[in-house]
Amino acid sequence: MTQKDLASMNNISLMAFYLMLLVSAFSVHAQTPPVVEHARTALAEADKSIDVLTALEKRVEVKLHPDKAVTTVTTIWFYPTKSAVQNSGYESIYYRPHDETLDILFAGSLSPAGEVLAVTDENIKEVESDTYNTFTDTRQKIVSYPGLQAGGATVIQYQLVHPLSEHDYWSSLHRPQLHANTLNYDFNAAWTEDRPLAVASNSEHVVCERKPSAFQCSGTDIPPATQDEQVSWSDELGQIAVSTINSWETVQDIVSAGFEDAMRESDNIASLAEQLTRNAESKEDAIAAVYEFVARDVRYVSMSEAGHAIVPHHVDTTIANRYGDCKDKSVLLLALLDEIGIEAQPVLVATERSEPKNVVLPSVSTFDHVVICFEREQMRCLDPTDAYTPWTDISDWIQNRVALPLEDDAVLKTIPSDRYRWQLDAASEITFTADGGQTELQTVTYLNAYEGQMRSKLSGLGEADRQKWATEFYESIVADGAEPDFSFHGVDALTEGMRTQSKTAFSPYFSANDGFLLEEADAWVQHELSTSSIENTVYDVYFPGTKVTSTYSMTFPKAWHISRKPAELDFEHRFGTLSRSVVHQQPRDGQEILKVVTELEIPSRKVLAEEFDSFNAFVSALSKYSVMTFAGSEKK
Amino acid sequence: MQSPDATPVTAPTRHFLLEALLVFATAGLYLGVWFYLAARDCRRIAGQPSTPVLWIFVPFFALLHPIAFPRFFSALRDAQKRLDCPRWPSFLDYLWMAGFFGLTVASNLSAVVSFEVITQLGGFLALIIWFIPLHIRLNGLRRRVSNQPVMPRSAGFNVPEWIAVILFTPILTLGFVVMLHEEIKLVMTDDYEPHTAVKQEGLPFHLPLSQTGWKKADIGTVTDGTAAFELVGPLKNMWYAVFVYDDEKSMQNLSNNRYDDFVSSMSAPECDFTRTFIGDTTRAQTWTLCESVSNDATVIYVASQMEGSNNQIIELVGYFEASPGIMAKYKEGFIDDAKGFGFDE
Repeated sequence: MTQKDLASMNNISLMAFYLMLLVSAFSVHAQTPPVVEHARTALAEADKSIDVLTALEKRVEVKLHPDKAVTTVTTIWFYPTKSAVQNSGYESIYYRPHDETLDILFAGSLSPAGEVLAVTDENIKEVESDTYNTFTDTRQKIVSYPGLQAGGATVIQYQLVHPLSEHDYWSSLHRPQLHANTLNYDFNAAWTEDRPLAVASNSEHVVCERKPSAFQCSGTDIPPATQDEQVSWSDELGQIAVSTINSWETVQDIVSAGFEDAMRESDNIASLAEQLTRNAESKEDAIAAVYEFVARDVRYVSMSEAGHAIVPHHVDTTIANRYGDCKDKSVLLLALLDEIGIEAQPVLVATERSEPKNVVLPSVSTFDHVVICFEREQMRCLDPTDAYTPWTDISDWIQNRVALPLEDDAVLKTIPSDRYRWQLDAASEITFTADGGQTELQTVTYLNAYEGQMRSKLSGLGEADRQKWATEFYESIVADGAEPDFSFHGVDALTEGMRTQSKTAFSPYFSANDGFLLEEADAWVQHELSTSSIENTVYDVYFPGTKVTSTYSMTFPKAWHISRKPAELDFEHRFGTLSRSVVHQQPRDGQEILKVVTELEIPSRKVLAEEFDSFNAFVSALSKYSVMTFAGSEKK
Repeated sequence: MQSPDATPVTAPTRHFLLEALLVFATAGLYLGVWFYLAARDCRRIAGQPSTPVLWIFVPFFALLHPIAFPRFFSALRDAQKRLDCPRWPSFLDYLWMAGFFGLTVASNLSAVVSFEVITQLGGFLALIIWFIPLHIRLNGLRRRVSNQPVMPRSAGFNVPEWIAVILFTPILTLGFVVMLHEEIKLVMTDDYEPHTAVKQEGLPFHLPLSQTGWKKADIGTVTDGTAAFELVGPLKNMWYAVFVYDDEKSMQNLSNNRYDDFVSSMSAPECDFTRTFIGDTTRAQTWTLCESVSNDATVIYVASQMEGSNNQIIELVGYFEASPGIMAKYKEGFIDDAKGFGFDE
């Protein structure tokens, strides 16, 4: 072919392309649904003085049919600035693919002049949104709006269809208050008498009206939710809830049925229990053995599809697979505990919620986790997905969370919380050398949540990596520039206490000839206090409780005399205490010894927003005064 | 040594007022010399007592008096008899000995027990006055024999004596006057009522006092003048001082330094050194109590530093030194009052 031929072909291709573009544009315009016209009008009428991302409109329509629940959501966003476009030019839609279908009816952007650019499949991606340990199978569709520019808007309308048989249940939750202004919010739910819907709202930003077969809420000029460092949005934001279930007993019945089926007629439980507890000398040993097996020998793998969203796999399947999710592991643990004579029960947990009073309607979807609880001296709750916390402690991430026991009264409770969730004992034996150096033998015993956390950090590491990690940890808390030699105890077994021991030699760093004044930071107390301040400014915080016992035994060379011992501390406050006792043992064999025992106790409690300043002042004062100073000199 | 037949030579007589002045100027130390010369002269006249030099020490130690003074008066009476001198009736000898013994006991006790300045001065003057009759008596004896001064005298005193009188009389007099003035001023100051809280306008503290006899003192009475308020207690070595710091001093440094000061000025002290919160606040307070016990006295230092708002710190420092018996009686109230120190809020 000649160059002329090629140029001619290019011209034809170009014309064809323009033709296709024209047809395409006409097609988009021709298919423009009413919601786009509505969005155009909303954008045109939008107050141009708005300077932050604003939902011009959000509308939720729920229709409960005899065979399905249909939720239609329409949202029109206004993007007044480039930063709003940069930061928020997308929409996230969550749905459960095994239970419902998501259909995006229309999504697109509007230019400031009102020109529409529709979203195509290329602008949508889907990701897994579940977190480890939870048993929902939620996915997230992220819609990135094409062509979005400052002064423009986006509009999206999508529909979630949840098929329902006669015995199926369904619920959904909606929050009128978003993280941006909402000018108009409407919620409409409708149902038939044959299949009623329970409805409720605790949002202060909408006014609701209940009708015989409908529930309508509306609100205007809803401000954005105030941001904070640490917020449980599930607890803090007002909700509108709809559910086909009207009692917690029903929730218990639905979930219990699956657990009972999963335990029924097991061929392996009895022999497995016998094998695991063969060497157990007490009931506690037996509990520890079966828990260690389920937590550490059955790995966590979530297979929630195919009817297993809330129904666990049969225990024999889980034993054979040696894997399972929280339901599978819990029912296996339940069966093994039952086999060794422990009466336990599954307890559903809402890991994102701590306030039962803010759960407005019964629903299965309130919960995303399950653990096994029983009474033995105190309430024990074992989370078999936690491979690092011993059965005597409660995993920190479920403590104080909303829970529903499946066999007790059908009342929402909270999982028990430790008085001191973060607890450790540190014992340091320091021997000063005549040239101003020191050797230190430090033993740190990690308790409660610290035990699980430290074990999880160290268990996956080889010896060299453990040394490296522990050295960095030591340097971040105790002292840098040293080369401690660590030994570890209880990393690989839940039944043993978890502790580390370090031996450190410090080069001479002062002279005692003309007297010395030394500061010892009481590192573990200081570290704990440094993590205890509350950074929230608006929302109440649950402080998980901390307790540190720090013991220093300091031995000085024979020729040294300690003229000033560290001050004893007796700080008592409504938030907690810091006490320190000091014993100055006078020369025995010529060596003076200082024994300093410090106890920091800040019990768990809810700290109200108006208490933040005084709580932080309390922590700051303890931090300031927990430093030990002492003085002495070499005897002449 | 002179032969028995020779005419004895004694120290020359001296007017009792000059003698009294010399005793005063030397704060009583001249009494040792006087008794040495008196014993020497008696020995020259009557051959006793045997070792006059030991009499240098006798007047200062009350315990020696019951043994030594009967011998002295025996020798004196013997000497007077030999020279046919008029003597005192013997009961007067014993009365003088008893009086001098009592005054010396009081003087000895003042080394271990605190007396007011006026008491000490009164005792000292009484001792001098009590001494004068004995001196007059010895003058009568010396007039009957030849006299030879140890050193040449001019106008009653020899050179060292003149130096002592001229130099120390005004110093001692001034010292007594100053101390008396302070004491009289203190006596004139009203005591605080017991069980009252001491406050001072413009100063942000209060201090409860449970015991009687506490008085406000001039700044500098018990400190180097840096205190904002000073109080002296019902006993001599008993005081409180209040300091106020408005700049950003560290309460920890302040209390540490105070602790170091206490320890460095005490012998083998036992110290309580504790920090607490003030009430339900997060402002801190440091309490220091150091106690040093010896056989004859107990010393207590207390300090209380408190953080206030706006970086203000107030501090109470207290000192109490007393014999164990007195300490037992006053200690608890002294410490409790210091613990009650705080901001006047």
